[in-house]
Amino acid sequence: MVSNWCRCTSCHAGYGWKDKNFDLSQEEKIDCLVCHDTTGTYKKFPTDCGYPPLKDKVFAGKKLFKAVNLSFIAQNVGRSSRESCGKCHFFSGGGDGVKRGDTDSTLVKASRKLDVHMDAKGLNFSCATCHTTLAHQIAGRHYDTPAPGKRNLALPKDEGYRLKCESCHGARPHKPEKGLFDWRLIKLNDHTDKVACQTCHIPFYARGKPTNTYWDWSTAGRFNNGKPIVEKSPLGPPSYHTKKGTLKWGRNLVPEYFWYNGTFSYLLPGEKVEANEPITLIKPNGSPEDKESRIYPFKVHLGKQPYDPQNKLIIIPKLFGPKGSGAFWADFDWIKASRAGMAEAGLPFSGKVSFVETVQYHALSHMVAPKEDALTCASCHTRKDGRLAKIKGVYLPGRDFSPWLDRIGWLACIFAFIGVTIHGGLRIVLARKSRKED
Amino acid sequence: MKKLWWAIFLFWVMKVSAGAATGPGLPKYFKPAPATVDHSKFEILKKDFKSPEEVTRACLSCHNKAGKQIHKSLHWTWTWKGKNNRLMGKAHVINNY
Repeated sequence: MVSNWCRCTSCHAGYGWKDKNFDLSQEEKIDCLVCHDTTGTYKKFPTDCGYPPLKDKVFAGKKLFKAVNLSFIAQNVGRSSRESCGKCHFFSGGGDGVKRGDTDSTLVKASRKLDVHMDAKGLNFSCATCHTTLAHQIAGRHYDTPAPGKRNLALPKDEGYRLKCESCHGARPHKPEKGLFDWRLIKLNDHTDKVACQTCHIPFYARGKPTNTYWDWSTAGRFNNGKPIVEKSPLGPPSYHTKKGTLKWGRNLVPEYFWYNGTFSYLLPGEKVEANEPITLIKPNGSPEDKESRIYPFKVHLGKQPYDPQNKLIIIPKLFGPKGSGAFWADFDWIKASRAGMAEAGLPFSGKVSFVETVQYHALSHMVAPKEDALTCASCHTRKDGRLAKIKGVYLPGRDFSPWLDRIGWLACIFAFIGVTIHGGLRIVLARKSRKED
Repeated sequence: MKKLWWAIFLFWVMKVSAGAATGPGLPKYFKPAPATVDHSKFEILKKDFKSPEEVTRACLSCHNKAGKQIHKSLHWTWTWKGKNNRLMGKAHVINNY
């Protein structure tokens, strides 16, 4: 974000964060309306440092942003909604559904199939139904700090947090549809200590809009006879864009699964890292030995981005800015963009730019499918290519086996069958005999 | 044997009564509480605002604790002090988008 202020801060809950000198102690610069607008007419202009358009304005030569009617909006403020949170959160990564893979604009009018909780004709949850908010502090995972609340039913003593699946569903969530008891659910409920709810109940991600799976910045900056190039992928978003490089997209994707204890590790700017590719930028923490860890679904995002091979630093390039500022989207020169970006971030730059493959992980927790679409036993308990084929540290029946145990089992079956046949046969024969003797 | 039959009978009664208790339809807990205020009636909001900061001043004239609350929030600071004082938050981290 550093050095790209006015583009990035168009999603800040404030007005005018245009450089690092922005005074965060000003109260009048708070944007109340972006969260509390209920009219759906409030929008922030994408490059105006958080300000809404006060006159009709065109973004990127195409999209018209109409002037907002502040009085109308102010007179109709109310609770936040899927639409108000979504104005920023659905568009992270620069477009609808680009980054997260489990939140996009299709949630505004969600169907039951897409999100069983946000189903507009059903439960109709807002974001804040789960992301419980006290005095403007919104509950959630914050970087390396896990989400608040316990993995159990949320009671008043739990300070109002209701963020986790278990907050409402409890630690043994599968209840029989009829009656009190269903023997099939006993084993299913035993899974919850090692398998997160999301693992079975988010069977696929990017079920609304396509999400970005690969972003190669190294190819950005190509022109066709001086004109920028935009090539569309079959799914709609660009597969090549002069400003962005080469992009890959996916829909209805199968997550990857890892042990996860609710915390993440981050590589921070200025931290030296060897160019052992792919370099991990953001990764979930967890292990099978850790009691807090469970198997959890993730979107894996691969990238290729500028790197300073001499200082061994990931480069923060300046992308957004006027011509001559070094901004890549104006001057299309990675060395200038890196110099400008790293200078503003207060980090050294050797003058050399190479491109390295990087990877980051996103925990999937939204767009929970209805129960009939959940994974079934055989999705994981299967010999080959199951969902958890790569998960280590647990004995997974069906996937894991011991040839000798299997042989002993089969032998026992065969002997039992032979025993039953002989015993039963003898009884039938002897019974006939005794009947005749009577 | 008599005891076993009793147990089966009791279980069946419980099963049937539990089934009757869960009728069709959706829970109503999730409807937002009805509002106790109509903002369009406030004089202070009935003017032609020239800047969004003017709106914020009007909001804070009643919601006089909200400003400080927002200033503490991640939505405002974009900064999160993690373990070992590592600075995170949108204003500090790097990603590959």
